[in-house]
Amino acid sequence: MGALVLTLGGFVVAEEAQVRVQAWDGYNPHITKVHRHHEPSPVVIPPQDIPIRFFHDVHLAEEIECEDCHEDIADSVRASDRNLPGGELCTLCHMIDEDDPEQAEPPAACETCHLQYDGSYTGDDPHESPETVMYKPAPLILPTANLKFNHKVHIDHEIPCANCHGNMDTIAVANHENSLPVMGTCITCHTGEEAPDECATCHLANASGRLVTQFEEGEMVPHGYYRNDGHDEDFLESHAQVAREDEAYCANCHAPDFCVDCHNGVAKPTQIHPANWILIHSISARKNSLECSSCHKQQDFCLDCHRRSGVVDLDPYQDKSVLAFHPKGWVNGPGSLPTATHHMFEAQRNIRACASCHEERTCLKCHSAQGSELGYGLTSARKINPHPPNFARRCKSMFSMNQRSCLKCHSPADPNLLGCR
Amino acid sequence: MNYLPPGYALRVILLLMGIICASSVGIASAVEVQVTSRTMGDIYSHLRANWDDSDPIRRQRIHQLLGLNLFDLTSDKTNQVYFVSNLRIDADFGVSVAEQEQIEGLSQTDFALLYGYLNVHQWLGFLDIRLGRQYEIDAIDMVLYDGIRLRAYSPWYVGAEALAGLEATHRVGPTVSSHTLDGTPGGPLLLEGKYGEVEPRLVVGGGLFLHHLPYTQFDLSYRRIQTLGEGVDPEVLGKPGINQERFGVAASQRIMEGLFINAGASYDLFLGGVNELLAGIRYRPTFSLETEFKYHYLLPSFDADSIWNVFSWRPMDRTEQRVRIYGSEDFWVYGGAYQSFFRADDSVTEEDIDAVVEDLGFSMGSVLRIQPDSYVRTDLNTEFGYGGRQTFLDVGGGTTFRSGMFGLDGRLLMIFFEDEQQSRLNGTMLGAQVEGTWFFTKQGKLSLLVEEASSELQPHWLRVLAVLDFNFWM
Repeated sequence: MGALVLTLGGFVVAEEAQVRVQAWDGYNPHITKVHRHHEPSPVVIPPQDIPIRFFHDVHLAEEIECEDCHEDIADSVRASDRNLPGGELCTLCHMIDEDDPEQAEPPAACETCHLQYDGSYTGDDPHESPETVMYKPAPLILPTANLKFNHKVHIDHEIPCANCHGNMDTIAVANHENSLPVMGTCITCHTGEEAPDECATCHLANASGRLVTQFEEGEMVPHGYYRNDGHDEDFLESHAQVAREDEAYCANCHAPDFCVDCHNGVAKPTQIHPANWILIHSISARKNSLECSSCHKQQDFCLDCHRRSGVVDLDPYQDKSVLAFHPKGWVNGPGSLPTATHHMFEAQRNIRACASCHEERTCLKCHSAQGSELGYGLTSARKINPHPPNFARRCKSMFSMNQRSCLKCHSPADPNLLGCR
Repeated sequence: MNYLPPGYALRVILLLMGIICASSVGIASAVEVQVTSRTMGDIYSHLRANWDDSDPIRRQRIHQLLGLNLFDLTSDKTNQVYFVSNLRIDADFGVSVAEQEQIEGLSQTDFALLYGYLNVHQWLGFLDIRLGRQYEIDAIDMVLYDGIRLRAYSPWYVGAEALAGLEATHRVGPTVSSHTLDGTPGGPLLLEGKYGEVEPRLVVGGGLFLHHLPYTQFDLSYRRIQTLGEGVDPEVLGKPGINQERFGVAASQRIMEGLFINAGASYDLFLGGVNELLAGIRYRPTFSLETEFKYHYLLPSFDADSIWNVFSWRPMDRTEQRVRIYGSEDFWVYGGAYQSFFRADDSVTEEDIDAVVEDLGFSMGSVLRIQPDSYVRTDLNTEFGYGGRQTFLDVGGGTTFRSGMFGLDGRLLMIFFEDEQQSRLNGTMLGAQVEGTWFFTKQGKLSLLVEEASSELQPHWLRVLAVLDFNFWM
């Protein structure tokens, strides 16, 4: 391929631009970057390679309009449309003289625009080979964005290019780092009023209406730039707040079975349950550092296994089993004050830990007010009052809403209930 | 199978599914039909409390989830009307006949309709309707019910929601996240320790929410669950009443780029007080730095039938702080600390006890994502104080091969463990988890997880979990 000559046709180039164009050596257009909090996701906009030397700033300074070069943009309705000018379009203004590129103003060889292209390769030099010399221009790699986008609609609504692409008159080569919008740009207009705000307006969705999140480039996940929803290493625990605020938002990507998989206690993610979790779950359960009941709702999830394993005696209503498992002083004798290891303190700290082994009958055995007539398969009770201070202030309200919890310990004729009725 | 969801509810759901399937036959070419299947099987055994390794508990379980989803039932490509459902069937072949005879309610098999509902989206441009077995996630927590939910969207950013139905409680489904106790209507065991009829419970609720505000989220919810009828044994247990009545609020606001605050609260009308508070702030002043603070207050509470609400009157609370430093979108390191507080009444004893027992924890780690789909992560987590001391040293990673056809994930773990109450558990444990995934078609994948752990109590512990997934669009 012969060298190309770049001339300036009928345009007058600003002096500053000439200086920059002539000072090509060492210039890397990829470093042109604008400051912003983040860049488009590499999953949504896959990495590009644009080995071209080009100056948007120079062209805009010449009052060349965007559509002069991106001439099909007003008809573009798909994100896969390339919308970039070919070399032929450049030659409309840049009179390229292949025979004598040095005569062009500024000088215009192939390597002027095609970075690293070496037009001098002829194949005659034994020290050079097609593998080591870039003997033809490197291709532009512009993978299709994993999005739906319609330039035509936006142009028809007379939205200026700069609203989305930013101020191009400071930019040389446009790339995903400096001139493609991030989602925050889109949602300034896509609010549901000016323009639709459904996620699937721009993101790809399947027939269920949910977004496609798996791409060859990786998994598309929120990073927490616009909502407090960054799917980071902590999100497994903190996602509850996001779901509570707006369940419908989660449903844009996640089908109901995604939630149910974990919340019905089947999936057991390895991040939560490391190897041999059964042997080591006791401390986390006691501290409530994991919210066990988020996934394991029913008491007998714990109870069945604890009974099978013998952690709970099959007849747990005998004092011997209580005393065998728990420390000395767990249950005090009649009339004596609780010791520091008494079970009441543990029950106050986290009674849900008690629920992993004990049913209410365990408590009734001592705390029921019905003495020897308490029923439930139990024969006697020690009538130890478990009510906290000031309980009387709220017992009336509780009794009016649900009397069952009261009647498990108190007989209907119990005078202590009179104040609650 | 000894525990089914209420029979009428199951019949209604199956009838609904039948009608939808039948009505969709005529327009089958337009309706998008999705069938999903997940089969999980795991095998392991673990020691009983007598540490006799000749007679371990055997787990040989199979869980089968089966989903039938019908989209775009109106065949106009709007997907305005759709139906989704999921069934679960369990079998545990490790439960012996002897164990079943000894332990009331222990079963080998289980069955549940996890959800099955018809959804109408934006009917008349403003109303969402959901009919069938569904779970509701709102500012309070979560509840599963058979009924109807309406969500109306106004043009002024405010929406309203109302729901009504019968609570669906079964052993294997997601329902209210307060621990459901035996001896209460939600629990399968009656107080006497025998299985009995589950009483129907009415769920009604409603609330307000904000919509179309990208940087503001708000949900205000009310929920009441009430047992219907005269009760199982009104002479002894009393007439049934309200099982749960709560207000909840959850909100989040993006103050400026990188700064978020969120808060939530739940007020229990039965207990007459706040039973949960949540607050958080996250600030990312630059791309490289992010800080986060969270506070959580929780008063453990149960179904109002339970006497344990009387015992539970001291709150637990917890604060968490976390800092992340990002090197890039794909690499960050983090460090965090947390404190939990557990309270007890120290006025009832002459002995010296701590009215507040503290639990402290620290964590640090890093995450490196290697595009397109590989990652390496490390984590060191230690906590001590209430309940015992444990330290987890954790390294994991994963990648895919052959254009994503095969995936491999692994995790190595070292745990130092000191249980405050069960010193026999104390020691050091080494664990490894390796999971391979084969996407054998676009519609199916097979995963195999092998876990091996070694500790002083159990020199060798092995668990194998296999998961087979299918996802067909017909």
